[in-house]
Amino acid sequence: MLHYDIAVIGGGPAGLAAAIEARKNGAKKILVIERDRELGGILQQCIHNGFGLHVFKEELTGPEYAERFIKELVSMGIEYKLDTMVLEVSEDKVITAMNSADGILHIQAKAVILAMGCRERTRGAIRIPGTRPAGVLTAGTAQRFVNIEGYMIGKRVVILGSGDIGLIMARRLTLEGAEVLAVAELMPYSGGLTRNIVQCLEDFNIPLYLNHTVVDIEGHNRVEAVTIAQVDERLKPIKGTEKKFECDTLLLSVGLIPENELSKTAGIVLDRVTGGPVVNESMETSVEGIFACGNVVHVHDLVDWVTEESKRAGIGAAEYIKGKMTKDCKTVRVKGINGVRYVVPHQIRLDNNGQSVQLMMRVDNIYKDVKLVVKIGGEVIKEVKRSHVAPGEMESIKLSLDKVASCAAEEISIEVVKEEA
Amino acid sequence: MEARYMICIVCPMGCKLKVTKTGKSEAEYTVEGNKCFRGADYGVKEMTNPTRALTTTVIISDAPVKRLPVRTSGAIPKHMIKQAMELINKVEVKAPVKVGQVVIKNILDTGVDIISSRTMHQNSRNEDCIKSHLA
Repeated sequence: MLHYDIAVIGGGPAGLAAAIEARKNGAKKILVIERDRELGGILQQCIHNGFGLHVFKEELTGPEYAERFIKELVSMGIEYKLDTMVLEVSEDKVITAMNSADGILHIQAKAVILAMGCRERTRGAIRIPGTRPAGVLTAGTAQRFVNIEGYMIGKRVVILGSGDIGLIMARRLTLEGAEVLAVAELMPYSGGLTRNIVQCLEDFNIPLYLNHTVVDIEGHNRVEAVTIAQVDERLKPIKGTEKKFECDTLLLSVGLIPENELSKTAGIVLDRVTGGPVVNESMETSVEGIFACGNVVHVHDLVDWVTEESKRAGIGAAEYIKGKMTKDCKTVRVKGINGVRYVVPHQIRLDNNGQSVQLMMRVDNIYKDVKLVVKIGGEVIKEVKRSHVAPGEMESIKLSLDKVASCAAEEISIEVVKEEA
Repeated sequence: MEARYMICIVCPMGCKLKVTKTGKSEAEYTVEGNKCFRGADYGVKEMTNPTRALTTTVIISDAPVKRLPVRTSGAIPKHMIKQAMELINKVEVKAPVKVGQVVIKNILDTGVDIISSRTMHQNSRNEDCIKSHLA
């Protein structure tokens, strides 16, 4: 049995930031466990720029952003294991992992930080009809093939889903000489950042079909054609609106799901909306001493927010092993209502939190000219104006806690309220 | 007055800009809706000489992976992106490479270099990888 103060599962942006911050806050023996051949996670294949504007105040590519953290981690002498797969995390914080050099490893940690990230939804998850030829890939898989392994994945491409990875890949494949015939989006709005619609689709004259989905895939060995159709308000395809594209590839960018197989083995309570663990102000899960951060908790659209959140998990874990965390103090629940789908963190223990807390949330639809209203016990404690909110863009509110502490109520609610003209 | 509506792409905020031509000469525009000064620059540039940063990959040998990510050191005119890609696709490099290392100098006379956007150590030597990060 190996013994560590903190074991971090996952060496992507979340795991790196959490491990570094835990060290800065006094944790000594830290181990980062990564299943890939190098640290950095998905950032290594995200070769486009736009990372780091909040954290570093400059525009970096994914690999550059990762490299800054890897450098810092290595220079701090934080241990890590590559090509190592974690099989199980137990409630008493024993990690079972394996790799080809050490065989099976048992690691007892005083605190565990879960930073496994997320997975892409696949064809099976959205049940697309048609034959099952080669050439149907998730956008992230295609990104890895093109940007790291050096394989071109097709010549004529249709993309389903207008999430950021789908948009980024539309541009990337066009630059590499493929023809992207269409991007189809089920919803009436894109799930990606507006800037990506402009610089990935409009710049290259790639048509975006909103309210459309794939209704057929043809081809025996390889994709030969993909048919899309318009959908009604109940998202059912409308007969007679079909458009057929002769193509060899269909990319799917249809959402990400936090990867919580390990969290389940540890008996951690998951949130049905986010798909990730229920966490408190220190990013601690329902199991004491097990923390979680990044896309394993809820899917973020900017890595900068992942870094910020993960720093909190790193500090939380470091404070926990020092025995500085208070369990028995006033705890308030945080709930999203009326247009707010979810809020992270789910609970705030007031004694552990200093003066304020960062609340991250997503809305359920596009709203214009609204206020995000934070209430406790019916009393409004904060209002933030927004000219435009969308499900694809995470909202963040910094809430100062003095008013929460002085109120007897134990639930904070956040809602979308239309601004009166 | 002639006005164009556009979404600023300088950062992920995505400000909605209204750019209005105010005078006869090229640079006389007013930009509204921007939350920072970079949005104002972007609005005028989109009307006069739109530019983009370009990120792509080049072939790398002797490295644990097959492609090295590269980017332009600054923005280049939008209409030159295709030509730039053709040049970049002809380049092959050999590991080790440091982040920021110039791969193509002054591409298409734009004054902008193509630079490596990660450090790539030589084939699967983990110790080298650690040393390169400590250097």
